[in-house]
Amino acid sequence: MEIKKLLTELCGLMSVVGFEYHDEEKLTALVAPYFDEHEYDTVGNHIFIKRCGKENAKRLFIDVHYDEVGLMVKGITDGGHLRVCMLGGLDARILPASEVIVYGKETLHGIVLMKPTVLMDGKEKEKLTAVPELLVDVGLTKAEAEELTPIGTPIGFEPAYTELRGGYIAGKGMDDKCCAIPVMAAVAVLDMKELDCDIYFSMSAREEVGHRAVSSAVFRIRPDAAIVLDVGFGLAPEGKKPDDADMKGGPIVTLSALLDKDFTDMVIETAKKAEIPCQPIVDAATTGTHADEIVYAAGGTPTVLLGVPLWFMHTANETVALDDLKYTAKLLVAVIREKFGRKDG
Amino acid sequence: MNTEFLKSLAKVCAPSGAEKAAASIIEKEIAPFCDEVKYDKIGNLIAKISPKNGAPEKKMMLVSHMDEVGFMVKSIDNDGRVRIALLGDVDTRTLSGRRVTFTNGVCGIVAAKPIHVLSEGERSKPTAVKSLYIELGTKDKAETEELIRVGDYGTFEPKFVEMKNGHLAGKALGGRSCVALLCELIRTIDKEKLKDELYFVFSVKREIAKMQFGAETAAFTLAPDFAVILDATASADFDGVKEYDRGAKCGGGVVLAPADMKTIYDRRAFAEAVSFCEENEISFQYPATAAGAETEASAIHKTGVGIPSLSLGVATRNLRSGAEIISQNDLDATLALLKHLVK
Repeated sequence: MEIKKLLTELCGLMSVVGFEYHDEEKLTALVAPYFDEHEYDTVGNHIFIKRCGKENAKRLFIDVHYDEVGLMVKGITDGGHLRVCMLGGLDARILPASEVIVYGKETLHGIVLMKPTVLMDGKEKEKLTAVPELLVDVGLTKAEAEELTPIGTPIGFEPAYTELRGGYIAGKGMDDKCCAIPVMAAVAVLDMKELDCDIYFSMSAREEVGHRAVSSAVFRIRPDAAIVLDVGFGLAPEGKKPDDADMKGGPIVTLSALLDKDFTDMVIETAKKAEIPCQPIVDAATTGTHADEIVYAAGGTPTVLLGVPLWFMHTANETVALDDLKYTAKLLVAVIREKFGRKDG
Repeated sequence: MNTEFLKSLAKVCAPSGAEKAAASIIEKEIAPFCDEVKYDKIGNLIAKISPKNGAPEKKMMLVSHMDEVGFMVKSIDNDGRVRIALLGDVDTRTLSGRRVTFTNGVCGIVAAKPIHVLSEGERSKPTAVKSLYIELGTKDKAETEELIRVGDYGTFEPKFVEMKNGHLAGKALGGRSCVALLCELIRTIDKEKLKDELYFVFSVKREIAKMQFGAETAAFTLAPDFAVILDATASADFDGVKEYDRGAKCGGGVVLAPADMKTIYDRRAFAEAVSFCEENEISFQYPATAAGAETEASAIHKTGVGIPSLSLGVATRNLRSGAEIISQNDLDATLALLKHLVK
């Protein structure tokens, strides 16, 4: 399995929140080969199933959300420029002069407009343009834009990836599709005959607008245990310890009153035994991830939360370390074997 | 105008002070059409084309700068992160989160303070350049120094995006389209009919110019009878910008003004250019804010005993960002006027 290639292919898919279906066939083609079955539920979650072959097997639910932050057309100016709103909380500091892809009736290149500083007075230079005032130029007239990129058209970042020194990959959509890589890598390694559980891998929709879809998948599956994977803040200059995780320090294991304590302790113990680096980080009361919903849904599920450290969240250059993806895959394998390994030999 | 050459030129990484990469590709492109191509002492690339028949009547200089805005490595933190100083008037708000390239090909991401630790006040302010850093993925200073050194140069990531209706976007595209226009002009000159001696100057250090310009050194050496300066003109022709602040209109034709902030252009040349455009239905514009801009003409026109000068501009949206936008219509209009100005 070539992790780097799979990572950029998967994260490069257009899955702006609310428009996750845009590349759904490509997504299925990338992920389904690692599983036995694939279902697409009523609210946009993809559920990939790997069976152990045993009747009434336990159900392990693994969640990774596949939607990503983006923009949407909310108006067209007389000059043919697109007025936009944010879908999810993207880092608006990076928008001026950004390249974007406008997914209208045609897929178009767009550039976010900005007033050049030579035309600004001193005070204007001190301010960032608020998102409601930003415009995207696609080179169209008003009439053409109304036809090709009508109100409601989604806009995403260009899928361009840069490999930095040290095995870091930067590009759009790492949050949270990068977390699917360790899941696929783990499933590829696990011998299902040695397990007492079926694996339900939910690539869940609509996380970035407030965790709208995942509980539907939980109600459908009724899992016995859940592992949620989401990206977490990687420590960068001016970041904060102990909240941020070290890049290449291995997966974050979230310690939270919301999560299942025994399961979390087991994960940390397993990592220790298997000598896989991991980073316990406290998020005392709430996690801001799908775990917040999964714990309570459908009668409740014992849940743990793992995280991949990430730099530059919600920008066009979210950055992860390949090492962290590998450590996360190893930890998943060890944890699943420990929790669901066949005791009867 | 064919944009193939512009495409390769736009992708060259050549900030002020490190223009060699741009110079060599331009030199290669124009050499077959020129009588002489050489560099002056500060790196300006100067190409000469002489009339085939008889002594030249006058000496004309055409100028376009080949440098672009960028940055220089100022220091390297112990953790390997790179701190930069800007070359030219780069708007820092277009740097954060952006891919950048060093002239040796090393790539990095410009980063600012993480979003989850920003105060409300910080969220609405552009980040000061001293708080930005470039992430290369290196683990410490020593590893970074294997890749780059203090004093190395870099620019926005090379990019050339074709948009609808002949709009193009990329870094440094305004300035580079002016260079490409002069190269296209060179290709089309008929030496049989040529009367004047032509000097094409691809100048250096324009983006870092405060008082002195690289082009004025060439102007002094060449002492031409007349100079035409070609450069990008800022455009903010969209909603939310006050009418008087919009600058040139992208797609509105060649920017043709009687003056800029520091130069009154040669009135005869200006009048002739206007009437030529009017008679031949070449779209041109005199943006209200052209007088607020400044070109190399400000230095050239008072070089030596004085050089009558005229500036032409290519309207450029997002000027000095990683994604400048121009219109091919404007390139065609500018080329038509340039061809007329060359006698």
